[in-house]
Amino acid sequence: RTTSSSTTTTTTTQMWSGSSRKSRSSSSSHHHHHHHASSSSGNSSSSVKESFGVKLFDKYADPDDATNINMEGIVNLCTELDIDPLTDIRILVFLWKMGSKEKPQQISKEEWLAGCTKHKVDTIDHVRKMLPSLDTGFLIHSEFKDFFKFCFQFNREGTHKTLDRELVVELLRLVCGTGSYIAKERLDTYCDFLLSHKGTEYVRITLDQWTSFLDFCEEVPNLEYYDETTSAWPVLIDEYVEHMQSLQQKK
Amino acid sequence: FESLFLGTTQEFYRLESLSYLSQNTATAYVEKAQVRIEEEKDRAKALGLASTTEEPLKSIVETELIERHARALVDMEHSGFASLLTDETKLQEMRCMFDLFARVPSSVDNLRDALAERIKADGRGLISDQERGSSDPPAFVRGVLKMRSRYNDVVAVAFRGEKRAQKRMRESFEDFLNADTRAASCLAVYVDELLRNGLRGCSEQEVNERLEKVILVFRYLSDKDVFEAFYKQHLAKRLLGNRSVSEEAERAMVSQLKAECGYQFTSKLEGMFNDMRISRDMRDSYKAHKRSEQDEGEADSSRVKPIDIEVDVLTNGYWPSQNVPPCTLPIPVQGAINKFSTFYLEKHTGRKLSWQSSAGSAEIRATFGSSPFRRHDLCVSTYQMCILVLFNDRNTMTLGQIRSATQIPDMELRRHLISLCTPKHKILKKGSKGKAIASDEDTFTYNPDYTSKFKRVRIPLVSLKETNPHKTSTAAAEASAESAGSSAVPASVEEDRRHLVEASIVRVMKARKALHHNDLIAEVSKQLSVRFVPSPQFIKKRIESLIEREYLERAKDDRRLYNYMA
Repeated sequence: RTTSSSTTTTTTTQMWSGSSRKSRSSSSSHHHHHHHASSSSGNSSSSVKESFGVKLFDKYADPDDATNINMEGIVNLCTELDIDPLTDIRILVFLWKMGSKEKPQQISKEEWLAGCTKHKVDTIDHVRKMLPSLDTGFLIHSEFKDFFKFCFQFNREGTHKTLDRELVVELLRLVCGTGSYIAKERLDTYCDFLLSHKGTEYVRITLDQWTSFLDFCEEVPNLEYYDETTSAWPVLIDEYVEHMQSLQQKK
Repeated sequence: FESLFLGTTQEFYRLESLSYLSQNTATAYVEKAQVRIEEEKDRAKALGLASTTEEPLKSIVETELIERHARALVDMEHSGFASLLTDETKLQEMRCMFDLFARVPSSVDNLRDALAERIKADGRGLISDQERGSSDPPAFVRGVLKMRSRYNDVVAVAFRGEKRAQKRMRESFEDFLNADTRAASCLAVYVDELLRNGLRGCSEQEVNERLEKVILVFRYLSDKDVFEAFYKQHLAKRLLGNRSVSEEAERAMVSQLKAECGYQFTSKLEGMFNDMRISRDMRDSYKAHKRSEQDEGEADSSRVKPIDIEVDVLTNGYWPSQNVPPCTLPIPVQGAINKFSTFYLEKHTGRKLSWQSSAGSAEIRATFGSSPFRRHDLCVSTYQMCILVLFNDRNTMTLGQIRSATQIPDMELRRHLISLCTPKHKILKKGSKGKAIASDEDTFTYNPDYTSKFKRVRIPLVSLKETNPHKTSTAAAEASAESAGSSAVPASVEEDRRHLVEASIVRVMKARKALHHNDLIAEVSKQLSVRFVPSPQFIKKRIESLIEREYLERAKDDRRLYNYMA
């Protein structure tokens, strides 16, 4: 079982974070540490009264850093829950609800414990029971906006503040694929525009560009009356509109 | 009766004006119309018409005679207002038309439009002359000044100095002068010419008068920072080459710019003058230092007479940046430079000297022919000196060999080399035929048959365009474009603009704490208008950059509102 989870670790972490050489190498050492970690936590649990979710935390914690659950731990959690992090948005919703904030691609022990207390999660079964409620359809507008921002922030690498446009497109499809906030045509044309744009300006996308896009889809469903001269939207969006308008003219 | 009377009057004038217009010149028509209007006025008085009738009557007459035919009167061939504008002698006729039109104020718009069109057309003509090369930059500026003077008269006389016409004239000048940065570049070349030659022998008053005219054109420019960049480049060359017609004239120009734009605009320029003054003092003390060294018997170990060098030390931030690594200098020159460096750095510890071999000049004694030898002192660039010294050891060298021996960058190397084998100054003979250098294997041979009637010969540099007539490398294109006056904003100015806009945004936001998008754009544009006119898109890009760097953020509930992040 440990072997198979190591392989899964490799591929999925690659999807979420462009180059995951670091993760891959540690997964082989992971092989041994994993056993070690679980056995030690097994010993300590009987002696001390713990807060909600400590045992769960220790199960998925980074063997090299017991104060964090990193991407491998998260993927292991997914495996346990039988959900595919590549196509299932719910793991992101879960992490957001649990309060991962401080650093990208991980959740700290402090955050985890607070989240577990808040959502009364102590065992994997509790988490499993939470799954249906993690549908984005249950989020009210302000919550979805906050979650949307979280999706960007969570997927950053280390100290980088921007995301690769390919990843941005993948994320957009994952988060907004249902079409409730962003119309399918808008999403498709925007992703096409991003990926095919020549030049270096939009090879990486900023947080402002990310969050603005959602607002833009809500506030400007119709591109006909878009006024570029007074637009406060990021230049990226101005250029997208220009692109769409020139396509329209060609028709 | 009244409506019948008015109706018939209207019919009458409608027909009469049409027929008169079709058979007469606009000028004649204008006269006739004025007469008719007066006649109607007198008649109304004589008939004792009620004042309630007078108004509509006046209005009808004016509408039929003036308003209806306003366009025709402007456009009529030869005598229409638009045509009259092209003839300097027709100011009176134009004024008559203006007076007539002034009775129906809205029709004066037609006259102002015609004025604007004419000015812009003339202006574009001047610019295309420039483009085609049939006139040079100073001629362009002289043309603009002449135009300005001429149209000032038109507005003063024909439009009776009307404020709206004045405004329209200014806007028209701004329109064609700011179509691209060529105007800024031409003006800088014009000023350069004045300060090198044009103002020679002029009294202080004349100098100020002529420089004031420069400021008149400068005032129309929206990209004043582009002018500043070009002006600074020329100024640097003049100061370093000691080519200024007089220091007073240079200072006068800076004063005029300061009066026009404020201290900020000219502080770096003043820094340049300061550097030159300090350099002069430094040179004197270095001379004294060398003399004292000689006296103390610390003579050079070699038997070669030490090279005499004169150094200008420039403060990095004030002068246009060069960023060219120094070339390989002849050993004696390098030695002299090292001695100076030691001297200078002892006086100013903590400073760093970067030698600008691309900007220096040299006087080199050359010997030609056979006994009796012909000796000439050649005034050349530092690069040329490095090239020529190589021929002390070898008679013939290839381009490749020269390049590796001197480490001069290729574009400049070609230019300085070619300047040494022009028909007029054939110090070297080029192996290949034709003007351009064929390849790295192309040879250059010392020419012992060189002659000149002068003992001291200045070898001028050929323009960059001539060195590479066919090559389209970006460096060549940029360089030749710059010397010709390109339509693109120089990269250094573009970079400065980014910094200036960001600094302005931060300043405004720091003061206001929160500001809406349109207001921020307006404030920033206003702050920077003295130097240039940033597009809203340009400012927006900087806003985005500042959001990314967390100087600003968008307000949570209003995307168009920015908050300052302390």
